Amino acid sequence: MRPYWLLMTKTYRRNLQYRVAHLVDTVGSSIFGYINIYIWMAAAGPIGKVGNYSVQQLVLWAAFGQVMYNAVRWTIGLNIQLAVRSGDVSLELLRPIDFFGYVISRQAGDHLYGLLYRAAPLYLLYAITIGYRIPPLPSLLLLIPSFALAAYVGLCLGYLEGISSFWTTDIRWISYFNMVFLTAASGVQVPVDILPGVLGRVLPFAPWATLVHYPNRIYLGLQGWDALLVPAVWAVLLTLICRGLTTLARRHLEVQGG
Amino acid sequence: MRDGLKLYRRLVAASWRAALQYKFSFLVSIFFNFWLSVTDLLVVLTIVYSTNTVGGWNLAQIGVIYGVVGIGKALFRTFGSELHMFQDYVIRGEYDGILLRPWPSLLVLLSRRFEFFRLGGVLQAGAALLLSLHYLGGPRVLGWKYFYLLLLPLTGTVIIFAISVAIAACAFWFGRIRDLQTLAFYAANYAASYPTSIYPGWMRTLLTLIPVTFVGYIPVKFALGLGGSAWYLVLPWIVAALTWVLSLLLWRAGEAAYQSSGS
Amino acid sequence: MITVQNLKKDFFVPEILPGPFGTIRSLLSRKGKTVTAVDDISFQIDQGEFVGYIGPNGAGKSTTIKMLTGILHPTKGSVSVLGHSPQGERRRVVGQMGVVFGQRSQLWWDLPLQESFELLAAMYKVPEQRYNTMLRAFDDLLQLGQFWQTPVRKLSLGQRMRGEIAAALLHEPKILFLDEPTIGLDVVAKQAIREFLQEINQQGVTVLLTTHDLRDIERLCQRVMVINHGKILLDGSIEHLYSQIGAESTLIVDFNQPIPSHSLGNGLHIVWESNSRAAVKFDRSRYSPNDLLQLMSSLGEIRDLHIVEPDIESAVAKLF
Repeated sequence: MRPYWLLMTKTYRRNLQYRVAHLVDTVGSSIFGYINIYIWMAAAGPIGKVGNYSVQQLVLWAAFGQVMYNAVRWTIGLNIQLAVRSGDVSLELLRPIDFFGYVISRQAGDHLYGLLYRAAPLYLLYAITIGYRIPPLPSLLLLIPSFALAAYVGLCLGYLEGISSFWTTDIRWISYFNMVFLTAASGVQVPVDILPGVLGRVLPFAPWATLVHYPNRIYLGLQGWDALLVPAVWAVLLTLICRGLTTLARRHLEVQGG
Repeated sequence: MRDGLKLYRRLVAASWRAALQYKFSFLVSIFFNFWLSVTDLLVVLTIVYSTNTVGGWNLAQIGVIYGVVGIGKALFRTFGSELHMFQDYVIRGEYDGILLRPWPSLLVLLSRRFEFFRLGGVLQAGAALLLSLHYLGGPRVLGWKYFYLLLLPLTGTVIIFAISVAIAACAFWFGRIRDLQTLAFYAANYAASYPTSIYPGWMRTLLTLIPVTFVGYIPVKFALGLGGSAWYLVLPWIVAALTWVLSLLLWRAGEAAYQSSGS
Repeated sequence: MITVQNLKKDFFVPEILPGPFGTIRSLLSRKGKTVTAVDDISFQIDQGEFVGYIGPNGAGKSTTIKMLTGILHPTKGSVSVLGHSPQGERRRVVGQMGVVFGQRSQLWWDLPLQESFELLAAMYKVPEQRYNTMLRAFDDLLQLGQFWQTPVRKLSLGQRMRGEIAAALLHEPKILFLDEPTIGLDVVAKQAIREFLQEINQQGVTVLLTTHDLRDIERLCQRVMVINHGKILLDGSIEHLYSQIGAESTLIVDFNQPIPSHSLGNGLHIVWESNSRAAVKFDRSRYSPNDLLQLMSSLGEIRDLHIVEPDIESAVAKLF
């Protein structure tokens, strides 16, 4: 485990250099949360509730959703595509540590940093300006695995973007596609289960809902441990898919040459 | 001026031909962009659909604002892609090449590349606008205002372009302008897709200073009989002209401060 | 043609303050240091001159050229090109110059060379007849026809550079600025480009060339300016430059069979690296490589030879 840990702490420390720039960035992205909050207040205010969500809950949803989003968002393709384009990837695949683990732990450092320097200040800001809720202890404890699963599934999705660069020269479309589901189906703007029609029934079971929707439901006390089910299944499935694709990528490289 | 337009048309045509070199992949990317940008609409739809009104506006009325802002945003991304990516020009010193042409630098910059696949987003927002106007009764009910609203994306695009010129000009001094762009382009346009009356004072002020509120909300409000005065129909033109003047002044000042790169 | 008076360019490099909020505080304090890239230089270039402008990296070459072409605004002093200020009347001045930056392309990456040229002709309003005449001339000298329909991104470096230079000359500029036009090219491509530049200069185009290759200067330039630390250290003929720095080239010769050690006399010092390989340092202002070759072949049968040129960095270092 030691090399993975080292990789993670190294990325974390590298990020520390840009604290101030990122703080400005955080203030910038807080504005999206405010916009969502005011939209919900104006939209749901007069009628009291939307679906099973009260106005108060929707406002907290928008704020905590923005916090989660900032904690789990990833660099496009986890930068795998850069190594593929430069050809360095053949060296990285040769290293005696697992490539998937290598990339994931490198990015996990970013996430740790994001949690402390992006998400936490954002939460504070919203807590002061909008209000906050301290969930009861069981929910608080459930938030830990829920967050871990959200971060991990996010990394897997980013890994899929990046690894696709072995077969296509331009991963722009794949990451664009991912981005779209991230905004529409993660729950950052609206709870996924109130999306209209069949979307509201299907998308809560898609991997993107893991990122914001389920942690939010736990945070608001709307769901218990069963909110970990869908994320856990996706974590397992995506791990298998990522590992499978890594094997294929390795083979592809061996056939095509470095 | 005429010469400039002629040259611009020529360069658009050349880039269009280049995009059509791979017809199939070009059509696919437009189609893809259309559907991907539908998700923007989906969010608006979900909110208004489940609550019926936002700030006293119904779905079709908000659809008009959404459509106007959406067209402006997508047209800007199509024809202003180099302005959107402008920080790279400054950081890598590539702006040198732009200054070496005997034409206004903005014209040369804007004509370097176009992202035609984003026309898919224009189609999507356009469809939303047409559909909303249809639900509001079409030309029979709206009369001449129907045609006014159909043409409104023009001023909207002009305003969004001007704002982006100002954002890009800041790169001459600061290099990186991603944060500013997040605030003044992405967040501002996102907020402006709804009636801006729903926001608190500080945000309304911000949306007036970055004048996106004049792109859709102000003129649409009067045109749909939701308040305001006839002035609201002319304001977008005045704002567009003013913003362009300020942006161009900022651009010129930035150009003089440009430091190029390397030795 | 070009007049430069007391030209100076300072760059401000902000100091990033340590500690929390360092970036923001430094933005507000505007603390930092001023770096002078070009320091009070003056010169004049007349029509038809072919001037080499050399110096080590970071000496101020590019900054000067960027001020001459209107890209950068001087901190102090004045620039006049064809009687106008390239900053104040940028579009007017720029329309009469051609510029090639070796590292950057002015062509349209995704379009065939032909379309790039057509767009440039439209941009510089080249009449159709002139355009056709120019193309024929370019094709004669640079053989552009071979890759006329190839998208620029698929051209080899040598082909692209030929395209770039022709593109910069399409509107028949009075002045041509070249920044490292031969960098990374093979001998044959270099030769083709040098011949072309000579031809262009003979037709009356004024050329200012920056390069790292002393052979470019030697073959092409009647006049050399050397800049370092923002100051012009030398402005004169190539002979003048060599008299200052000594143009010590080295000829390395491999003989077919071992040669018993010989000295050549004539003040030439010969170093035997093995019993069949000799190296001779010689001064180009006194000996031509040809003379030397004749001397060497008197020693034995020559199998192979090559010449090592002094590089600009070490040459300029000698100017102190």
